[in-house]
Amino acid sequence: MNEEFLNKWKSQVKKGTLGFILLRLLRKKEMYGYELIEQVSMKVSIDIAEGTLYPLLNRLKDDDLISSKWVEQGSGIPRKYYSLTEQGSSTLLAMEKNWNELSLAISKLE
Amino acid sequence: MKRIEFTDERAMSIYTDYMVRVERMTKILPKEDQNEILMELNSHIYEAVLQDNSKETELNKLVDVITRLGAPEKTLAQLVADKKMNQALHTFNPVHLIKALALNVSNGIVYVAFFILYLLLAVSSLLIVLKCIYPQNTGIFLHNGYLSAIGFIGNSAQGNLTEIAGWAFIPMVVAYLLICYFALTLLLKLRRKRTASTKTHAMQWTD
Repeated sequence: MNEEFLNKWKSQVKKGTLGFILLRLLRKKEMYGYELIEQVSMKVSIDIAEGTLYPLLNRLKDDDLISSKWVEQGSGIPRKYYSLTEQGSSTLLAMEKNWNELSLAISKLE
Repeated sequence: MKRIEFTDERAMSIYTDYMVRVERMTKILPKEDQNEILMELNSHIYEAVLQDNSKETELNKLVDVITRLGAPEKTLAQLVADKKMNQALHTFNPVHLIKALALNVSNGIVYVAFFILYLLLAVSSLLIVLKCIYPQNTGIFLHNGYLSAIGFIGNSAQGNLTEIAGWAFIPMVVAYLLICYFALTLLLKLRRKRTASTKTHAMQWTD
């Protein structure tokens, strides 16, 4: 087995699907940056670097797929919560459909 | 913005130093974006230290978070370049544009191309200065009734050419610069929208 090729491929898949994963996580509930990193690491075993997460969130926001708001905390240090926009929800549905079709098509190749 | 209070003096100084570096890195952005980034990182550090259940000391927890975050000069480079470009395209301000293009040069040859095109445009504005100094040599020139040259020509070439624009040449150059500038900026906007969406949308490799 070509370990190096496999690892490169894995990292490409991760990079390509990170936006999809974030959108799916945000559909259930709104979350703040650190929480998203924890959830991604716990649920899909991907360690995202903060340097990747925040620019990606910023782009998803520019594309109007997610929105953000500051929520005051008892500590006095507010959290920035991200949530799915309406456009984000409908785009995510289309992404899931595409994902499932692709996955089915790939599995049929056998 | 409320700062995090660490009881450990060394932790406090590492944290302060980190935040100063973040401030320095984001200085190029509008105040609002600066605050937004600073506050989000502040919250990130606070949550990460607070939610670290290990028996480590406060100092070790902080060092761990900051190590994970990485140098702000590196971690924030992409975010700052993105936000600067947004600002530049939003305001149409040439100074922001040049800065944003410089920050984005590493993001692809297309930004280098835009940089050169803007530079050419800036050079074209010299025609206004030339018209003021050498009014006879600058303008629109006809040769036997046909358009022969637009711009600045040397004395030797001027012989059988007639300049027809006169002082109207200056507003013409200004109009030309404005049109090109807006067209180029719109093109950049369009180009950026395309890259942003291909970068963001998952499963891009299925395309």
